[in-house]
Amino acid sequence: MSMSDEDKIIEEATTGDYKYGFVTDIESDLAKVGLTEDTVRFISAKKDEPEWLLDWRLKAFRMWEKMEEPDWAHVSYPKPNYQDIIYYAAPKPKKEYESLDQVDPEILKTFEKLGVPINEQKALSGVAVDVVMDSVSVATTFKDKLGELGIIFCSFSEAVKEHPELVREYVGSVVPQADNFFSALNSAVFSDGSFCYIPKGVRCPMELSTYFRINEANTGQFERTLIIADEGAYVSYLEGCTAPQRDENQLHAAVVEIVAKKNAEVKYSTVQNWYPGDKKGRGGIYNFVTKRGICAGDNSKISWTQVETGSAVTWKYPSCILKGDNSVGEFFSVAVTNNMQQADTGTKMIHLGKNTKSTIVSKGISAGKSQNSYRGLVKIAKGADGARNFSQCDSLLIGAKCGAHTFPYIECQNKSAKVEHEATTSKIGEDQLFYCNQRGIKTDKAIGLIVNGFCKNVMDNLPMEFAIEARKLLEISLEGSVG
Amino acid sequence: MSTLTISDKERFLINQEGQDFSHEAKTFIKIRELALKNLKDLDFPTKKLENWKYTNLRGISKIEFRPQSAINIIAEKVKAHKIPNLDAYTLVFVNGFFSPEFSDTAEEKDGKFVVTNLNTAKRKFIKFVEPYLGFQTRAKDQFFVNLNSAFSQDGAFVYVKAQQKLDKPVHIINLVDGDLVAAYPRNLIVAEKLSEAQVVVSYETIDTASALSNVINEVFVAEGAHVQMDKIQNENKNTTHISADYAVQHKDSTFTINTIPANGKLIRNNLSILLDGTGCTANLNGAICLNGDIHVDNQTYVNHAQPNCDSNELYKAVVNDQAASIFNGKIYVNKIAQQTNAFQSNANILMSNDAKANSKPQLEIYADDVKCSHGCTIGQFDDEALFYLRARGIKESTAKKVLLEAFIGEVLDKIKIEAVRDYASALIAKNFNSKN
Repeated sequence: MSMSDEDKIIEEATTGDYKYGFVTDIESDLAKVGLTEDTVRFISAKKDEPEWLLDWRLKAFRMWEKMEEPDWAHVSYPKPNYQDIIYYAAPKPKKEYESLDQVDPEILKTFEKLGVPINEQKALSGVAVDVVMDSVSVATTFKDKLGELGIIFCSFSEAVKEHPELVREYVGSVVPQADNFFSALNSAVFSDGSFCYIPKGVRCPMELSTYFRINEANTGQFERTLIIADEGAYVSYLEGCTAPQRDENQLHAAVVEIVAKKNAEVKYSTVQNWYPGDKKGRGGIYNFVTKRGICAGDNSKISWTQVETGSAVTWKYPSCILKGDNSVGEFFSVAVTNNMQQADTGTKMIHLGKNTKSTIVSKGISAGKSQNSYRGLVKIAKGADGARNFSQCDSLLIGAKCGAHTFPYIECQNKSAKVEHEATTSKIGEDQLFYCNQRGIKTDKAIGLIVNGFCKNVMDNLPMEFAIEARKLLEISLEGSVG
Repeated sequence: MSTLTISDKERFLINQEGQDFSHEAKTFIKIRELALKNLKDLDFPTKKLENWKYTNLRGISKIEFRPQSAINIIAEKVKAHKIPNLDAYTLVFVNGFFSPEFSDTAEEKDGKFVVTNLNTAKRKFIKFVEPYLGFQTRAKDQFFVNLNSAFSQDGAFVYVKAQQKLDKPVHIINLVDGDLVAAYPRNLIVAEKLSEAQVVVSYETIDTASALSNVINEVFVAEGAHVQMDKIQNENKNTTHISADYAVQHKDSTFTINTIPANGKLIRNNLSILLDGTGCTANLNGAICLNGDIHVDNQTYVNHAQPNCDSNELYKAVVNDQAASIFNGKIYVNKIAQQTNAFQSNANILMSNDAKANSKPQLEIYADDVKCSHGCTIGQFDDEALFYLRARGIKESTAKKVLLEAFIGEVLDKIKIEAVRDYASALIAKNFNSKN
């Protein structure tokens, strides 16, 4: 293949436009611009929250005021002005929905554009969708069915009202308010999110799924998700997001907390496709997320799978604290950056219990002028006898203007532990392309094939319906060179 | 009334003063002045700095280290630190000062090369020294580098002219004698076009001396030149050793550095290599076997600034007792450095539950046509291998020794000079045998 062909393909690959940009017209209930104690009180009052939660928010706010925005990540961006953000926006309340007919047709249309017809999903796929439009849940399906098993799956604000004892016990128990700058911010102003509780010995019969969308212009999105799997429980949770096209940077600082008790297993899958900004890097979402799970009990397991294709700036490290003996943590990630995108993502595996195991597989693909970094920590504490870790971080570079970086931290204090880390960086080999061309596969198809093969062992960990969407997003992200 | 309080750093700097460098040529005084100026804005590194995350200097700034020239050096004690069977030009420095009586210099031997101390070279061979000295150590943000630049007493100077070869290796022995010594040896090694040199640098202490050894090695490898350097750090438990090694390589040159940090209280190595020409090869190796409560921190930085270069890194560590081994390696591949091959490998074996190994192998890559990889492992000796040997009647301690030799041997084999390899190998075996 000639050089100019390759250039053309790279050019196409790196100039594909975001296809999911549109704005849904719904009136919003807005908080005043800026962040003060009053804003926190406003949000809390708006949501009718109990005293303890307001106190909890205020405590976080006070800590946040003293903190500084971190700058250690390998990303550069104009720092958002935190006093220039609207911290609360909710669609006008329309009471409780009993059927989908009552849901705002505009919202339903949005989901149709996204290829998520709720009706069909409800009927066919067996996925309960807790729809988060901006910050407030407006539709919840399959609730009755889950209710029979004692599974609680609802919006966070509903959980605060219905199950305050559970929320109070677990909120902030994995990601404390002062964990970092963005988690403190989230703790102070979080608007809503999802709450999920699986009781003892229950295996959740369906994939639980939430679609997030950022909607109102200039609103920060501060989701808070809390998942608790009680002893012997199992749940697979899906999170996916697409966002409308915007000129101004939008801040997204979510917190996800997972608690897995004895013998419990939680599988958390994400497909992330926030608006990445245009080709020149204007606009796009800032995605500063704190995700952490704790394997609190013996033999528990937490598995993170993520496909990251969007956001202008990503700063995200889904982590596992392996406290229980024999507990298992997994992290599978595909991060694609294109145009001017920057991603600094990875994981932390903290081994505390005996015979704990962790696996990290991270695949980074950089194209255009983007920067893609893996940053991870594997820590084996002194008491973690027989701990085992395997990490693999591979990077693929498409085009000569992008960068791929690896910053792994490995700390070991136990002599019976085994830790392995390997990383490679390479480009798509001429020989691989030649091999495909020779067999009549066109170059762009061939690139698609190679990229898909490169990501395969991560994609295989996604639930089926998600894997399809993930492949679709991958294609859009590397349009022209893939498929 | 006002009380004048000064910081620990300021007091430390005052303690270093009182050396007279006024006899030096202006160009060299300038380097010192610049470093002193930089020191004003700097302080001792703390754990808050990313590159010092795992190394705590534990109040070193409060210790009253001072430069001291050693008097009454006993010849026997110096000789005890020579490497047996090593035929080399030997340069001995005590507390950073040159000891001509124990050294054999070679000044323009057959017009091929210069092996002498830096102070002599600064006078006699200024045209060889001036273009190179301090060229790589201009970093404003490095406290210890500037400290050495400001207060360095002397060091070795090795200069090999174009197309010449050193007929035998140069062995630079840096000794410390006395209490609370601040030693700032600084070596400059220049290999001109197509030349070849082998340099061995060892750091040792006499008796129970206590010291801060803050050393710099500056190496220039010109087009097509080959330089191999072996560094043996074997000081006593009272000595903190902080070293900065710089090498710049030009087209088609090869540079190899083997580091053996064997003994000391705390050893920190900052290794920085700039591949500034096409077709260069850089090899960085570390053979580490630690016991007691020694803390060893190896930092490497390989900057691929030009296309078609190779770099290979292999660091292997066996950690006993309460010792800690830290590896922080970074490969940086510049935008234009296409066809780069960069490999980095770090393997650690922990022998005790109080031992620690931290590793941070990093890749920062801005070019697409590259092959870069790094690997890192932390583990133990293979139980099955041990069982295999024991089942054949080999006792446990011997079996472990065999496995150690197999593990570390891979790195030791990179040392070309047999006498040095034997010496390093003995140091490692001794550290390993003391407990196991």
